[in-house]
Amino acid sequence: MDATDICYLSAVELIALYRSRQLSPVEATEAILARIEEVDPRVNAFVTVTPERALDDARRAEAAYREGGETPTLAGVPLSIKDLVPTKGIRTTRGSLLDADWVPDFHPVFVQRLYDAGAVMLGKTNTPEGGWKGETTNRVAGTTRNPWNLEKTPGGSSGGAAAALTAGMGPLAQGGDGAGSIRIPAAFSGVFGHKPSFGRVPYPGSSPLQLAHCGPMARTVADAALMLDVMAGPDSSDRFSLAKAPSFAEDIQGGIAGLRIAWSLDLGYATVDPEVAELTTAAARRFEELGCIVEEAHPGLDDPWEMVDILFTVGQAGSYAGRLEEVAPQLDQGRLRQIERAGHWSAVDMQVALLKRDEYWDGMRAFFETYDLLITPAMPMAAFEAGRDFPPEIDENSTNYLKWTPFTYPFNLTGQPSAAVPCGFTSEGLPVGIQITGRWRDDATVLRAAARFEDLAPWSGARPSL
Amino acid sequence: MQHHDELWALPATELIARYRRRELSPVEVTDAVLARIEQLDPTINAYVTRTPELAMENARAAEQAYLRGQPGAVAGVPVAIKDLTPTRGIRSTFGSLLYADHVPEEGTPDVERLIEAGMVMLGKTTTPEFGWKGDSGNRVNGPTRNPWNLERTAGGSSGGSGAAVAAGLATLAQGSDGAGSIRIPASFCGVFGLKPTTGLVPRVPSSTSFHSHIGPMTRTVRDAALLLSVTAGYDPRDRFSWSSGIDYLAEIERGTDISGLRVAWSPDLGYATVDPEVAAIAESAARRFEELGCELIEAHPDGPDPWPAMEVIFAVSQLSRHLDDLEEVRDRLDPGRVELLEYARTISAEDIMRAHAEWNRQYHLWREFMAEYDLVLTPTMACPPFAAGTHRPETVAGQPTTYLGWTGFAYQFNLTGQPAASVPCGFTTDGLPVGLQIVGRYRDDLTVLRAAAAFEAIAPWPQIATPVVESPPG
Repeated sequence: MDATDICYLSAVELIALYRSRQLSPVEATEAILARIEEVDPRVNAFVTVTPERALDDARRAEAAYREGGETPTLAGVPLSIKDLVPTKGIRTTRGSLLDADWVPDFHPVFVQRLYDAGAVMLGKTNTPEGGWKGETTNRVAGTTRNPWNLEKTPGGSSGGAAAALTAGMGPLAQGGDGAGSIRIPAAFSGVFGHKPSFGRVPYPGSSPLQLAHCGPMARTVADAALMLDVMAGPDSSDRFSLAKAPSFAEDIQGGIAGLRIAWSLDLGYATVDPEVAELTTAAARRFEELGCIVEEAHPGLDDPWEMVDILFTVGQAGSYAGRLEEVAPQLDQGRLRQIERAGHWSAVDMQVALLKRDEYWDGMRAFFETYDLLITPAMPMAAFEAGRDFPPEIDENSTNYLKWTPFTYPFNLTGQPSAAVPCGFTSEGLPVGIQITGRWRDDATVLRAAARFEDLAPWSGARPSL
Repeated sequence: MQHHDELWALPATELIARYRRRELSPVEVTDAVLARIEQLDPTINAYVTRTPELAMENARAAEQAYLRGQPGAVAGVPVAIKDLTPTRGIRSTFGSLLYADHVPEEGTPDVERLIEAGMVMLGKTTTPEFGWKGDSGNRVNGPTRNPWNLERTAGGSSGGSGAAVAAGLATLAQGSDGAGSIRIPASFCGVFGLKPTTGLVPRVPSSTSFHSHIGPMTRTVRDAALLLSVTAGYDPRDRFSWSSGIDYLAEIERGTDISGLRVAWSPDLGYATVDPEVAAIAESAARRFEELGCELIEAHPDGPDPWPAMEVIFAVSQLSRHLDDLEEVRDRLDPGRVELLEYARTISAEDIMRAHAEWNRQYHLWREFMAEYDLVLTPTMACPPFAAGTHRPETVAGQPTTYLGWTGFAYQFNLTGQPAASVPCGFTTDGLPVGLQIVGRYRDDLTVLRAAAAFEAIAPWPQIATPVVESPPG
């Protein structure tokens, strides 16, 4: 096993090797830190790397394994945190010049849970400013590139997280998803990303208007389930946090025969690239091999983009309430064009959106009375050029700035669990993913279905040449 | 207390015990309550719609259920439902002329659970138009009068429910509370009311009414625990609802020892203006928690009056009823409410986001405060009940009032989502009820109920108002 092989081990494999003393957390961490030094100048996944902290964590884990007995769940497993999430004592830029030197004195409870589980903290991964778009470029750290093709974007807003996984810079990465920001980069980068049910992972700042969710990204489903086990569970810091669920890592061992699966190529409104359509259709059909009943069906609901637009855009603008003019020159100008629109919406517009959102939820809920899962393409296209705000079909002044992610944002509105699962490559060699969405709060079935698909069509062996 | 043995005065827990022993039949009890309604409700006006035939049908079914030995948890117990809750097949006016003849085709999760548990449905209780104020006057059938003094308001917006329970016109009543609407009438009518934690009792639609919580209004704490146990728990129609897994009544029966709890008492939360007599009565009630073995400390979080954020949230929630037809329907609305809606139309989406940010800050401010305290006590209301059919008290302690600004003890906990109950704790020299508010940690409704039951044991309150119609005002 050479150093690169170590970098591409899964968390589950690392833990097994640590336990059997075939590998030490310090060796693994050193290999990954070396990998970051070697490839990250080209990929630019990290805004901030914390090598000393990582080695300290690794030595502590090494001692724990040496002592034997019970070690914490993620002892010695290197991971990264997205730079939108405050981390105590570690610079957190949120992709913004305004926060370029911010060192928070707090972090959300899930970060503490990851630390307490013995994880090795590698650093903070890149994000567009405030997580505003599905590409990862900002004025603090620049552009993150897709390891499969450095001309392309890894997607966003958790683009740094996905690129880090793809390039072997840590087996686990935390992502956040307000309109698709875990699933877009997971699909574009060929890794697994799970947006959990709203409240599964507690995050302070949640409000009934909120669309954002935090979740795990990994190169394997089992790793994501393990990470979610650590992050999930109720906490008073989040009014919406859900009760503790049984272990996802254990649950994914089970089968999925007999599940009723709806497959939709377009949800009735999306336009999908033909090559992506072919790959995702073939992938959905394979669930029949797993004993599922696969039917072509969708909920028959209109594209909810307008609801997402107002809630997402006003939410983005909320950070600068009362001082937008003052900070405008320092903001990402593409983002500024969008959040300037927020001032034009009234209470009536907002309430209309909220009531429609409740209706949308009812429609989706009714659909899931018939089906256990809904499978769609994760994205309607493969990765586009890095550095653009949107795919080339969208005009720079468009108000439909996220409408090209038609499969992801519906499930930010409803809060349902939704994962992006790699399912192949285009002829250009770019990854394509399917999206598996489950019933509200039924993260377990989504993860289990993803794991069984992974058994049939494993992807984690594929490595980009860097 | 002279009415204590009348069937319409018995608590639900007592009725159920006697039903089980076959000492009493749901039909007799329902007859007695319906007779009481016929006698008093023309004066009190707690009901906008009565369903006596349905009640008798439910009572007969409950009787059979007891005979078969398979009664539901509230089988044969007479229940009133607030008219803001749409009820399948039963007229639901929402206190609005626009819905004076509205018969919904869909019900709500909590009422479905009560039906499933065998309740006797008495009818729908009076509320101001869409619950917009702390009095229960409306243009359909209001106002509801306070059984303790018919010139005074029963409070609102669950005023019909409060008055019905106080006067023995219902054994249990459902209320809802968006800015105090369970606790205001509970305090004014001298009954127990609990606004549960956000989402414990599911409600729809959820996105535009997240500050509003459904809960029990009863004469005893145990009855509220029973009603809560039946109605609480996750329903997929409300994606913010959750299950506690707690049988509240069973827990209260197991014990009400609250000794050793750290309890904060605040006479004003740092911002409220309070009538001196109400303040004194509430404070002496709070002091009694020392007799219960609690450590009582005068304290409150260091935060501003959250009214500006609450006003935005409440106003836009009211506006969501008239998003495209305000001009068309304006003449049929309550003119006082039209003013509120006009204001709501000037609010921007960004104002809403700012209000939500403050809402979130309030949650965290109180979460940190509650790390030090198990419970917080305050007066429930800043004043005794004011004139029936008006919008609000003209003054409190000599100070002029604003729209709902005088309910500062109440709306605070609509924002934080914490469980908050009102327990009767005395009467003014004018004979008007005063309530003590007991607030718990987020999702710890049980400790609030347990504390209320402990207080009830040492300071029992009169169970039934003696309505003046029995001895007309002189």
